[in-house]
Amino acid sequence: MSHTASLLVELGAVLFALGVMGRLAGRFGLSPIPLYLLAGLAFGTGGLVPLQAPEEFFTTGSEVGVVLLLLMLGLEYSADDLVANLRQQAPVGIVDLLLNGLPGVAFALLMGWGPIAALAMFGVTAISSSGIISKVLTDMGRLGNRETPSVLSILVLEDLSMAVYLPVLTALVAASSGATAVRSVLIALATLAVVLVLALRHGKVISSLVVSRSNEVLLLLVVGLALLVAGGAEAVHVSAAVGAFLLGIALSGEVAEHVRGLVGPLRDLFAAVFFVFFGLSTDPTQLPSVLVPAGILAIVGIATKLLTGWIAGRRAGVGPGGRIRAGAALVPRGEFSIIIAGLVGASVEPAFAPTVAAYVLIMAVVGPLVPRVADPFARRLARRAADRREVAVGPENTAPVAGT
Amino acid sequence: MRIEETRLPGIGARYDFATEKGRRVGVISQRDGARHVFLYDPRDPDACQATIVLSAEESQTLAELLGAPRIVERVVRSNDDEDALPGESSGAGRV
Repeated sequence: MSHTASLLVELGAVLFALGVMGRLAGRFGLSPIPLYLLAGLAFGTGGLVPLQAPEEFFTTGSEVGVVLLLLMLGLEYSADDLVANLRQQAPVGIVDLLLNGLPGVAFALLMGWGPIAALAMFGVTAISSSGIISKVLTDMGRLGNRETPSVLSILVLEDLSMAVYLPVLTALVAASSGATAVRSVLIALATLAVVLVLALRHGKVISSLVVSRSNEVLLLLVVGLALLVAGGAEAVHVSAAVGAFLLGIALSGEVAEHVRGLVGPLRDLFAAVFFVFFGLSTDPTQLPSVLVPAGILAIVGIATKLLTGWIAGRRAGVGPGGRIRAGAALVPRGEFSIIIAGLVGASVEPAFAPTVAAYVLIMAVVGPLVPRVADPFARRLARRAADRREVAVGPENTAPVAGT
Repeated sequence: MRIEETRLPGIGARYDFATEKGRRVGVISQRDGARHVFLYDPRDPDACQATIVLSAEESQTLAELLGAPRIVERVVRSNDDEDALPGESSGAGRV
């Protein structure tokens, strides 16, 4: 076969296989992310069917995938959302990061990895997958629940903290010595501050830059601008992902709504490419040896998120049942853990990428199941609390139970 | 009546209130126009007992049905009058 022919055939086969797997995942109520990773592992070097031709496409496509993932995430939030959450929920956000990030650091140190790998593991274990979680909450009809605002604000704060964390990590990975590391972290944070203020204060100006009635023009302008900003951010070690995220926040109002609809399908395509690429560049023969440590880390990760949810729920005045549900909802890790691992890559430790792959495989499969498993337990706790209330205030004062 | 408003970052806003008989009802308005209507569980005040998702058009229809019951009643009655033949059942019970 000619190069073009094999490129198209292999690329087509991979994407088609992803589609089939996505359909399967949907049937069982699973997230497709772990399946995309498995596909990547199967097609990569040392895998079942190594791919030859489309490697370049996957390399570039995965970069575009990160940019689009973060652009869409930024579009979900308005600047007001972020500021309001930061004001009211900052303590919960800090508890969440420390409680879930520190086990990752401890894990890296126990494995004998260096400080950069430890910092990377902090992010890998701390950040929940907002994509998986919002889908699980919607599917289970839980958006109206009283613990849901707490869950959502934890996700917002995690995403926002990534805007600080990723530039620091990128700068440290790029730096060669201690002095240059400090300098590049400072430059990265200063740039971040400037861009953040621009995004918050002058979002309307940026939105008016891309406004257009034609979908085609709007799509080209927005994706072009996103890649420009991401590239610029990468050049000063702020990380392309954060640049795209901030642009997403800056775009507001009707433009944001319109862009979400347009970029969504493109994001789905390139995000799939991104997950596959991470699998491709991970050596599957390393997986079995890291499965046990990754499994232990996953168990700890479930426990710490349950605790986080309990604390956040109690702070919001939610009952014990809701606190369990909040923690269970927060368990899945996904896209951010992979983004962090992709950023650090094999530069730190050969076992790093396979460990993160195994961890995300476990967390993205088990995570969405935890709320379903925890549900009867949460209900029992809530019933018991209700009985106690009834005893306390007397049955005549409680709400009548109407038939449904 | 006191309506509570809660912002749901990334989704929209939630509004809920307690009915006179003690049930809590709520609506989430998503930015894309979809609405979730839900009923809280009296045994677990933090959870929803039932949720339905309505498209922008469906929620508009529901709002019209809820907001204009008198008009609907009148329409129904006048339809009944038209269907019935003069002197038959529709007039039978009237004074």
